[in-house]
Amino acid sequence: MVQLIKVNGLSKSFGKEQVLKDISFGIEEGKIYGLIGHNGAGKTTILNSILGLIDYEGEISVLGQSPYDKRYQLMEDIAFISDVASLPRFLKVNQLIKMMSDIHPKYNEEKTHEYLQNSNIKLQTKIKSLSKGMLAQLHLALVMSIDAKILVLDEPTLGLDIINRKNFFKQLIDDYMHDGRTIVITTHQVDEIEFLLSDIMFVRAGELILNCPMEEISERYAQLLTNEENVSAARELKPIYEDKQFGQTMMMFDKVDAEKLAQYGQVSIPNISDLFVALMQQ
Amino acid sequence: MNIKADIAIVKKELIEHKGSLFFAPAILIALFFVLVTFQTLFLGIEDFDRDLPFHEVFIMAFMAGTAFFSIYMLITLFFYYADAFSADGKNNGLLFWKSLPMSDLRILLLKLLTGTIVIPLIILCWVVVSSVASYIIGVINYSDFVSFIAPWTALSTLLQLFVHLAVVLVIVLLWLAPFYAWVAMLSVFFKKWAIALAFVIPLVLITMEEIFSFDAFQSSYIGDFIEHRFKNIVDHSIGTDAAFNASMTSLDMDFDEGRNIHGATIFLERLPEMLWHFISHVRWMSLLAGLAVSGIFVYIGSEYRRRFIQG
Repeated sequence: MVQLIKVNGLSKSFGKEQVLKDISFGIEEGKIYGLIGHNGAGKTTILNSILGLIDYEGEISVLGQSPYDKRYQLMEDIAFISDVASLPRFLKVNQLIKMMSDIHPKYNEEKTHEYLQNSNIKLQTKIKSLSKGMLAQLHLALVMSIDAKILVLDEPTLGLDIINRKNFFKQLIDDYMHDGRTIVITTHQVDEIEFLLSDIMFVRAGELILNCPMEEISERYAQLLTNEENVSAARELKPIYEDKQFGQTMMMFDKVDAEKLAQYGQVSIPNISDLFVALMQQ
Repeated sequence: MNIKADIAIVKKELIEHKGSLFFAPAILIALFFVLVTFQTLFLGIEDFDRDLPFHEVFIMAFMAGTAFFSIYMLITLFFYYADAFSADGKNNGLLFWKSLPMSDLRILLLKLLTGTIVIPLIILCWVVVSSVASYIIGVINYSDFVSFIAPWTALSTLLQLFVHLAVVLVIVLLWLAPFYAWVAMLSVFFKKWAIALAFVIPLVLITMEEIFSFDAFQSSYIGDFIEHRFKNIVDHSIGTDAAFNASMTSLDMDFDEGRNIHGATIFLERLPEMLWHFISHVRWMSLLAGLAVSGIFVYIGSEYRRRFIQG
């Protein structure tokens, strides 16, 4: 499959603090990538580097070009939301839509109107009067209306209530099904995006500690729920994480045969949030 | 080259600064209209020169409006430049602007263009509006005293004044461009502190020069250069022809001694001559050098903006 983004040996320091440490990965066409990590893990710095918003050490190629040198040319094919509250507040909704239409050669004004039809956002409303949920909806409607090859979303639902978060992801998945574009999304609310991801990347303290397709998770990781008498034996199989849950012990294993584990208790595929906690505390 | 995109950025700048460009001038003119009407209706008219032709009054009203709005414009432009180059960073907004396929340099150059050409022309339009308001005020309040000029004569007068003034204004603002670009560049680095720093930095440099030259009484080269650069838009060493000098002297006398009540009309007739005299005496090389310096200031600002995303 074609790699739209190639990152090789990406490092970044702010003063004496190194926030990214020799990260390498590729983003393939037509997939949805989740970049997951704690606050301050380096997710936004990775995205900002890919988008050419900051300089960096290492090599990045986005659609065959250096994002730092060719940022504004690349923006014809990349749409991104880094902060939903960053829309210009002094404009009205219709003024912003018109401006986007005049500036962006691949923006489709009609599409935005279609997206907004199902929302409470009025075209004459000033952007500063919109609620945070409405801002997110509007911003997503704007970037979805760009015929971009790559869509980058950095914590797009930060600060939104549960209903707005659900609506946001529903709109995102509808668009993906329709246009099939490549999406990179960061969040620390792992469980909410699990269902829409095709690939997952975990970032911990500036390092990429996991990068694999979602189906590989079920092949590679197993979760064992065991009782006190089997704990010692299960520990012999070297769990990567262990925790007490309602009087039982939960263990997470990497590349251990599920049949072997089954003799010590109940085996299941870990969900992403449990795997995230396990790998972050490893 | 996407002209639509450039126009969109200019329009966005005008919307962002609509308070000082549209609302404030409209309020000031409305206030003027109300005050003059109030004075006429309730306080009466004093010291009104009934012999002065209305055409004269009309041209003078335009000139008064020009003087008022020129000062208003210089102040507005100073604050525009002190804000415009950093305003995109408010509320993390740079992240949005950088998501658009436009370079930082192009956006900042469009802001410079807005400040140098578009905003002055808008304020000049307010001068025209204030003149039209003066005409209407005259018709309403002074119809008992004077005979009015026809609206089309007033319109033709306005057009002549507008065109000549617009040319002078654009040249003067291009001349002042380095000063405004300096404030604008500082605002990229220092945000609102740019207003103070625009003056403090040259003052510090002048003081340093005085200290290190070990001669407190010696004039400052930096200070002299800045003063010379601002004062001398025209080159006085270029000779003017005698006919023009004589013409201007007689016009001065007409105004000063009140010998000719048609002085303003004569002024209007001589506008093309005066404009050509101004254009032929502008220090064009110095103006171009100033524009190059402005370009450097804008480029430095754009490179900083390209490298940093903090608002």
